[in-house]
Amino acid sequence: MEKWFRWKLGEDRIRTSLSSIKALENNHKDGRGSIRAAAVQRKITAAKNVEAYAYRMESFVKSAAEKGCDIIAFPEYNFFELLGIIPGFNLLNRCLNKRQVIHAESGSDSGLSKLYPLLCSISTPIQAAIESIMCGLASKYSIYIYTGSYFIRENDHLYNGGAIISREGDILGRQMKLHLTDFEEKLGIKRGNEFKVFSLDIGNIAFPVCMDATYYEVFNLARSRGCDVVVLPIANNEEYRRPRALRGIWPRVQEAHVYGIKAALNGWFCGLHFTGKAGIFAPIGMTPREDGVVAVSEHPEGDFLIVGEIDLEALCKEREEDEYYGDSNPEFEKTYYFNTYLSCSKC
Amino acid sequence: MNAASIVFNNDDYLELTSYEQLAGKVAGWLQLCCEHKIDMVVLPALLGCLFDNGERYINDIIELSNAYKGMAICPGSYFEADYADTYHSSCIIMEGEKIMEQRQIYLAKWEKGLGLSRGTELNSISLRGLKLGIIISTDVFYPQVSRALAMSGVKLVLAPTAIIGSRNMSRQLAGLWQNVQANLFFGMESSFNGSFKGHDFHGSSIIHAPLDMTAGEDGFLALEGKSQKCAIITAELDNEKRKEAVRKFNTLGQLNIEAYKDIFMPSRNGGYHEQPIGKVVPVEAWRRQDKNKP
Repeated sequence: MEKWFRWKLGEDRIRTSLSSIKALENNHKDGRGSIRAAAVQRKITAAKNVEAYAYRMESFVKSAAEKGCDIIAFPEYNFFELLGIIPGFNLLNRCLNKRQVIHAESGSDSGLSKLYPLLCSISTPIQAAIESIMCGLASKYSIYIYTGSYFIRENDHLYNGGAIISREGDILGRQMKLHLTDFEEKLGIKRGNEFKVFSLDIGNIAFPVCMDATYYEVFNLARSRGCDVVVLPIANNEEYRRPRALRGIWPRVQEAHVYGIKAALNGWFCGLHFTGKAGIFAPIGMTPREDGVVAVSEHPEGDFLIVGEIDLEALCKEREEDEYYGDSNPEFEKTYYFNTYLSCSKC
Repeated sequence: MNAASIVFNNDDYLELTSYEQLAGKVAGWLQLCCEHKIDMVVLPALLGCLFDNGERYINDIIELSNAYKGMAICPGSYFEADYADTYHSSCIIMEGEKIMEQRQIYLAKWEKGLGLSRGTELNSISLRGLKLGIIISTDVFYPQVSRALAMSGVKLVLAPTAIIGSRNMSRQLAGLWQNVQANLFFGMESSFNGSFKGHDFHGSSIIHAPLDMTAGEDGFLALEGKSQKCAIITAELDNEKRKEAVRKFNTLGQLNIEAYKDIFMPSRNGGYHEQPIGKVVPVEAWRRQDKNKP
């Protein structure tokens, strides 16, 4: 299976596909002092081949570049379409979607671990293909690309993670998901333990994945390492409800006083229904309606490219002025880790 | 357990011109709670320091509490003098006794301006089968406080709050509401509306619970109305329903403790406060660099 996938997702096919793209001559920088970011919200659509997938990714990158964006972020599980190259898969997928057979919380997914060997075998070629496509697009359009997430195989373990790619098309690093859903645990995915902040010329940026934003600790660590912007890919397999959406990156942005860029996947895949709005978020005091929203998608389903400005100077000022940000209590904090996580009743 | 949060709006504040009026209002609230068979009530922040130091206020409520057997009362917050230090504090009073005390751990900028000191310990107590703690006002915006309480087994948080600025539900959602969703405990919030030391405060009184156990899946068991007439909002805190909600979405079950080992570590410049902004190359600078590229 792995060899077959390598062949179908081959470097030559990707190179040929990318070679037809005409690079944008003027990347529409208009002399502004802020950073412009784009968050992709996209619907899962069937792809019969890797060229179709590359074309779909390019449509978002091109649009972001035309709007003068410095960085674009793709959603979690940004690879589902590539499974469509398996003969018969798209038909099977349509059947599963009609029957809605898998419910992450229903307990009917007890056989999920059986998928693990298959996922292992296809993960490396899929990772190679996505990263190759994204590197090519980044250099063609001179834009930072966060790839969205996919399975990354390391030391015979599968992780859910993504890569940040420079304007020159180089992979600057990868970040694995630190907190898994029950569904992912049942699949046999392993969580990462290392959290990184990348120092880019557009700011210090971190790339946690989906559930990681449920945990204030991630954003606390990000901020303590000088992070200004957090990019978060999501793929929520549940019906959209605003309060549910508010449990993720939005409150973390308010606590940690960083910008948040959320990219979201939606649509049906193998009987699972994904919904979610892409958006760009900032501390409440920095947004005109005092709601912490710079820009957000109108609808939790469909294709959108959400673009917003990131003003790091204004962020710095907000950190200094906000009543409820910036205090420290060294006496309380010096034993915090031990008291909270190592000697608690939950542990 | 029947819970109540006091609704204290701006008109209530404007009516108060003396400590005696406040004491009378508190007595009225407790009587109202008694009529509603309330087991636990939380009052708004800052009530204890509107007219006097907190000592008299607390002593009077301790005295009052003797008349309400079985009712646990969080009297809101007050300033507590301890030698040279003054803390923003709260407590739980029951049947003539102060059974638990808590000092605020973090300070807002206006509180720093008053020279207040920070508490260093979090306390909890078990009542009617639920372990509970107090999160005072500013601490609702420091999620480490909520997490520490949750990890110690607290299932109910009493939060007297005073949120500076105009009424803004987004600000409030960023406070106790999101801490409840992140830690899946109950939260009883009573907000102070009015002025204190030259600052205006606005907020809504809310009884919070995990999304999955609230009727509108919005995390509100009770929320003060826009033209609320009754001085209390009430809700039944059903711990079995809460446990069911936790089974559906168990946030604390997925903590990655290994990944947090540097949190608040001084050697790693821990915490997200008082940190320098990361060095950033101005956008124009890299554009110039970009143009110079072959």
